[in-house]
Formats: sequence, structure tokens, C-alpha cells
Amino acid sequence: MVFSEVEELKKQLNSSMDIVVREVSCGGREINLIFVKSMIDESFFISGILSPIINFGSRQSKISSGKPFTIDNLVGEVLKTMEVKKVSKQEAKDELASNKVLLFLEGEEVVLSIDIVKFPVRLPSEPPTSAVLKGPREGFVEDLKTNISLLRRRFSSDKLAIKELKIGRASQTKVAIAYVSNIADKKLICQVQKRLEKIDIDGIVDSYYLVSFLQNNKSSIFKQVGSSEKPDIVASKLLEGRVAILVDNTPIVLTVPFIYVEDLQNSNDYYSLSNYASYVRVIRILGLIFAVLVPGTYISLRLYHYNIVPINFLITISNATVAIPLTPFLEIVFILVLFEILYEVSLRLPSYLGLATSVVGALILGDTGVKAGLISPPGVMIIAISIIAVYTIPDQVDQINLLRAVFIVLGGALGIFGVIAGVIFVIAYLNSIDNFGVAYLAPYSPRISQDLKDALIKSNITKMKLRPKSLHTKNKVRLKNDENN
Amino acid sequence: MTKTISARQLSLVAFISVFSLKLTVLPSLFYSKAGIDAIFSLFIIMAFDFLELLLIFYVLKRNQDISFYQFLSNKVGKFFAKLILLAIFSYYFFKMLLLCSGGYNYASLAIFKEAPRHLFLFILLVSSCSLYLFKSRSYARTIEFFYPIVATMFVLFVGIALFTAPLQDIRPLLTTPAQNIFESSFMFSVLGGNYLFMLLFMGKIKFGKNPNKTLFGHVFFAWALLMIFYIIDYSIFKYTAVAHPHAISEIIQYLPLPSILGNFDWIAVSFMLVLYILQGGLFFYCMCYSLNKVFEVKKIEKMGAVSKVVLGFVNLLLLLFIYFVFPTFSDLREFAFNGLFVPILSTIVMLVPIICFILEVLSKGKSLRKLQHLKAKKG
Repeated sequence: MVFSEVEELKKQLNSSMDIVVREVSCGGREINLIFVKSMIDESFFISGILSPIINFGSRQSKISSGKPFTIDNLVGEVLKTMEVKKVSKQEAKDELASNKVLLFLEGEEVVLSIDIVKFPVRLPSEPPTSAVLKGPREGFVEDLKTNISLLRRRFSSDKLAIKELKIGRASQTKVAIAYVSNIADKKLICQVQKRLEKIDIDGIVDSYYLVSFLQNNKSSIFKQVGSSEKPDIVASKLLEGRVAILVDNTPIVLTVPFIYVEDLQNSNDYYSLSNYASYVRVIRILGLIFAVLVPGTYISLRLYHYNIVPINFLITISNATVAIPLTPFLEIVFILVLFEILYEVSLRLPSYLGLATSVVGALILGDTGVKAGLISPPGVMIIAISIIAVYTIPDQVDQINLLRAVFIVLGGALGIFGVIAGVIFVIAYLNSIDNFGVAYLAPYSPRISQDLKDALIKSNITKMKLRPKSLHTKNKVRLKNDENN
Repeated sequence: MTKTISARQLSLVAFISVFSLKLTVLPSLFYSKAGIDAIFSLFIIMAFDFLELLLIFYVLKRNQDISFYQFLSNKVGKFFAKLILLAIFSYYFFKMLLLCSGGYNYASLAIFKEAPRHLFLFILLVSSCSLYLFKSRSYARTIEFFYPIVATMFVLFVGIALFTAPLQDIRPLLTTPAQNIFESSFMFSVLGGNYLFMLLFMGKIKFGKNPNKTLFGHVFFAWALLMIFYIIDYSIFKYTAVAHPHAISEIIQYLPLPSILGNFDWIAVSFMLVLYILQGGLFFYCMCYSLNKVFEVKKIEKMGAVSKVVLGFVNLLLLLFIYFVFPTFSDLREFAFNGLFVPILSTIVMLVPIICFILEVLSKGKSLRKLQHLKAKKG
């Protein structure tokens, strides 16, 4: 017999086809089990819940003098599950919606909520965007539990704290706030929690949905929230005093506060020689400058300031561009747009067609374009350098692409002075960003000498005795008894 | 009051504020009046600026929680406070005019050969205004960001010039009459007064440990670089220094090392353009601060919007002067350096720190006497 409240519950959940009600008679009492079939471990349901109940029922009937069993008997003696809790009938709907198995026992006011959720989960693997030569290769997956376990593995002490909340009226997505309790600033934790709790949205399907809610300058093109797919990176950020935000159904973990220098750092830097890491960081900065400024500067030099280009360069460029019908500005814009189209196409095409696109792009369009005299080799080279250089800082691709376009317009319209003014404007704008009380361009402006040890130049770990000052951590000391030094 | 800038940032703004027109047109202007002894004219301006700095710093340290306008209102009353701020506005307005006109004059010869003036002005004014609109904290941080770049470039420039340029003996010195030396300091005083802006940051400065060391360190560093620059300029050009109004670019052409590598004039040009914009931002801050206080914008609702109206008014006024009153740089130069209005205005404004200091000392004496009187009563 299906209980009326179970019927009602099923109706409340729109009588979805995957909601199943299983009736069992046990020791003279009726039991209704209601669950979402697609979201539970079916074999465990049979072996850990259904069979023990039936067996218990048959044992009860053999011992005729046996007292009628209660919900407590079920919890204590019958069910072989890890997580069982008693909930009221009012709470039952939420529990079922979060994919728990509900057990209704005839005549009882409480319901048992049993957690045997299981759905397809990808195994932790190396994230394609953060490949490393040395160091851990595992990455976060789409399951929050797995992600928390990946993080917990790196903190065997009691210091890692994780708070859970649900965001999304319809999606009820689980979100976890992780921090190291004796390091992270309490104010920061409260601020993050408050901002997340305030979100009243129908649903979030990815952690990037939260980014706008976490940053102060919502319309800014510059990212103000850190993100990573690697547990070792997130763990190191937690140790610096940051707060991580893990969202169910996404492998991207957010970290706050975020400063610009973070994107110049790479996990490889920490698993290699510090001198080499510094060298690579300088290369990344050069990559950033090349990616953003080279096309704009090239246009401005060709349009307005050819007199300041060294004569040898000028002759080479003039020879290569003399027959090009387009103006330098239009030529660069044309090559850039062409590249962006090819890039978008290659992203969305199946891999077997990707190769064909490359051939069409590089050989047919590039080579024949030059031979036909539509575009010049210096123009192609400038855009190629700029586009390749973007990937020295892969986390900044979106911003760099936008900035490049802006500087192309500035260079074309206002010349080198426009480019310089643009740089000053961008720096001033970045300096106006303060997220969670941390200056965006720290430790350079404002200069924080202590934090310079892990900025553009990376010091040896034995020299980084204190945590970043810009993060206002509770516990400042990172390295205590440094006996080796 | 919220502290938006640190003592270090203030000293870096002071460092940056020393340069710009002093690296282009001033060496030749000085030379036209004082000959080779123009170095002493610079020295007089430096000494006066240093004295000013000492007085300003004293006043700033003693009034850490009030704004400059509040300070003036408390000491001399609102009417005189507004009068002083109006004078400061006019002073910075002339400095901005010189920056716009002199900057274009330099840029058009060095790099912008075919670019129209409105293009240069558009970029300079828009970027300077945006620096002002980003507020003082962001401005100070921007200066802090660019300081290592500007300082390194300048030190490299001075170093390369010292070791590679064909320097000539500039002696005998002190051959020009002392009157000429002093006169040139007076006539070009509008290009001095570098530290007056500090007063307008009153109440916003967070004095950390050892602010004196930071401030004076950067100030001396800037003056040392400037002094060496002038010596290099006069050693290279000697009697023809008067005919080289774009000193920094023209010195570069005399350096053998960069000419081997190619035309490196663009380094000087980029350096100067950065300085123009950063100084433009400072001048806008000073002008808008003064005007906002004169018209008591804070009392009006939607202060932000009204503040932008003030900014627009300043821009309009600047453009009117540039296009209709002083259409060429020579017109402005004639007015600023050959008449008496601008030097007198500069002198009046430069007296402000001295007045502030006297007022501060007097009020200190008063409060001490009050305290002693109270103690005596209690005792």
C-alpha cells in the first residue's frame, strides 16, 4: 500500500518518471521507500537497504513473540548504510529533491533519509589547461565530494574548514567554502559567506556564475576572482590565506582575494628552481606586453612615427609592405579577424576537421594572402607573435584579446601617444580595483616589499618566511625553525 | 579622514612632479637669461623648493586629520581660504597650460610631425582627467607603479650620457651677473614650486615609520638626477644650449651608443609622454580640488556629478586659453616668462607654505600657552 503522504510527495516532485516508490511489508508493518532511481546506487539499494529489511521482516515473523519493530531498530540493526538521519515529513521533500532515499514506516511521524547517491563521475585527471612537467597531475572533477576529498588529502590536520551552503532556488547547487582556520582572515570568510548567501538566483550551473557576485567592479573586463582546476594550486592558495569556493558539478574552483600577479605564477614555478621560475615569469610578462601592445605599436609606427623606426627596420618593412593595398590599420585588423574566425571554428570543429582548418588557415589563407599581395609578411608576423604570446598567461586570454583590440584602435587613431595613454589608463584602472580589501596590483602598487619575494621574481622557499602581507592573514608566519639556513 | 596615500607614494609623486618641462624647454630658457650659470638658477629654485618642502612637511605632519581647506578655514577664515585656493587654482592652471602647449611643442617636433594639436590635447586631457577621476589613491598607486620604470630609464639615460657623450668643460662659472641668475629663477618660478601639491593631500596621507627618510630620499634623488641632466646638457651644447629647446631628445642624438643601435629617440619621447600624463593628472587634481572647495561642491547633492561639471569647466577653460588666448607656444612663453603676471602669481602661491607654517607655529604657541594656563589653574 502506498501511503498518502508518499503519493503527495511524488506529486510535489511533478510525478517524474524516475521517482520510484517501493512497498515492503515487514514484521506486520508497511514500509514505503521512495527515491530517484537515476541518482542512487541501485545495487547498494538492494544489498544495503531492501534485502536487510526483508530479512529482518522474515526473522521477526519467525519470532512470533517479537515486539513490533521501530524506526530505531531499522537505524540501529537493519540498514547497512553510512548516512541515515531522521527527518520530519515537512523536510522530506527537500531530502528527496537532493536524491536521498526516504523510508516511511507505517504509523511513524518521522521519516528516514538514507544517502546512497551515485551518479557517473569522471576520475581525477590532468586538466588540459594546466598541464605540468613536474608536480601532481590530478585535477578537480565535477563532483563536489571528490573535490573536497582531493583537497582534504593535502590537509591531514584539523585546520582545513569547509562550510557548505546551497545556492539556486531551482538548482539547489551545493557550494563549499574552504579555508585554513588558523590562517584565513575571519573578516574575509564572513564577507565571502555573506556575498554567497545573498545570491537569490534560480540556479547556478558552473562556478563562473558566482564570479560576478564576488567581485566589486562587476562590469570590469579584468578577472577579480582566481580560478584553478588543480588541488595543489588551491591548497597552496589556502595556505597563503585565501578562501576557496567549490561548486558542485564543476571542476573549476574559485579563490579570493585575487591579485593580478597570481596569473603570472604557475604551479611549475614551485616545482622547479626559483631562479628559473623568475626567468620564466619575466618571459611571461614580456609575453603579456607583446600580446597586448605589439600590434597597436606597429600600426602607430607605420602610420605616424616611421621617422623613429631604425632605418634598417624601416627599409625591411617598407619593402615588404609597399604593394599592400590596405592601410596598416586595416591590414592588421583583417589578419586579426581572420585569425579569430579560424580560432573559433577550430574550437568547435571535431578534431579530425581541426587539422583541415589549420591547413586552410596557415597555408591557404596565410601563404596565399601574402603571395597575392593582400597582406604583408610583417603584418602576419606581428599578429602571430601577439597571438602566440597570449598563451604565456593562459588565464588572461579573454582580457588580453580585448585589450589587444583596444590598443590596435588606439594605435591606429592616436599613434604612440594613444598607446602610452592607454597603458597609463589601464594601470590606473587596475589600481582602482580593490577586492576584499586587497589592492589588485599588489605587491607593486602599493609596494609591499615582503610580498615581492613571490611576484615577478621568485625567491627560494626558505626565504619566504612570512605569508603575503596583502592578504591580512591571521597567522603571519609561514616558515618557523629554518635550521637549514 | 580616510587615509588614501602612503608617505612613500607621496614622495614618489614628489619625485615625478620635478620633471617634464624641466627636461625639455627649461634648460634653454635658463641659459637665455643666465648663460652657463643657469645651473645656479636651478640651484636657487631647488633651494627654495627644499625650504618649501620642509615647511609643508611640518604643517602636514601636524595636521593629519583635517583637509587643507579645513586647515585654512580654521586659521584664516573661509573667505581667505577660498582666496588662497583660487590663487592655487590659477597657478596650476598656468602650469597645465604650459604642459599642454609645451608638451605639444615638444611632441610635434620629436614624434608627432603630422599630428594636429587637437589630437595631442585630446589624449593628454582625457588621460589626465581619467587619472583625476580614478581618485587620489589610484593616482598615487599609478605613480608608484611607473616610478621604477621612469627612474630606471632616467638613471640609464644619465649614466649612458655621462659615460659616452662628448662632454665639454663648462667652466669658468659665475661669469654672469648675479642679477641675471636671480632674475632667471624668478622669471621661471612657475616651473618650480614642485611640492605645493602636497598641501592639497593634507589629511589623506598615512605617515608610516620614517616618513622623512622616504620623502627626502626621493626628493634628493630627483634633484640629483636633474642637476646632472643640466650639467650634461650644458656640457654637450655649451653656448648653443639656448638653441636646444628639446633637451632630452637632443642629448640622445649626441649619444654614440644609442645611435649605433638605431634611432632611439622614441625612448625619450615615451618617457616624456608618460611624465606629461602623470603630471597632467596631478595638475587636474590640484585644480579640481581648489575649485571644488571654492564653490563648496560638497554641500551640493550628487557631489560626483558636480565634480565632473567642475572638471568639464576646467577643460573648457584650458581649451579656450590654448586655442584663443595663446594659440602658439611662443605666445604662452612670451606671456609666462617675459611678463610679470605669472612670476608674481607664482611668488604669491609659493608664499602659501610659508604662511601656513607661520600660522601653524602661532597656533602651536597659542595652544601651549592655553595648556600652561590650564595646568596653572589646576595646580
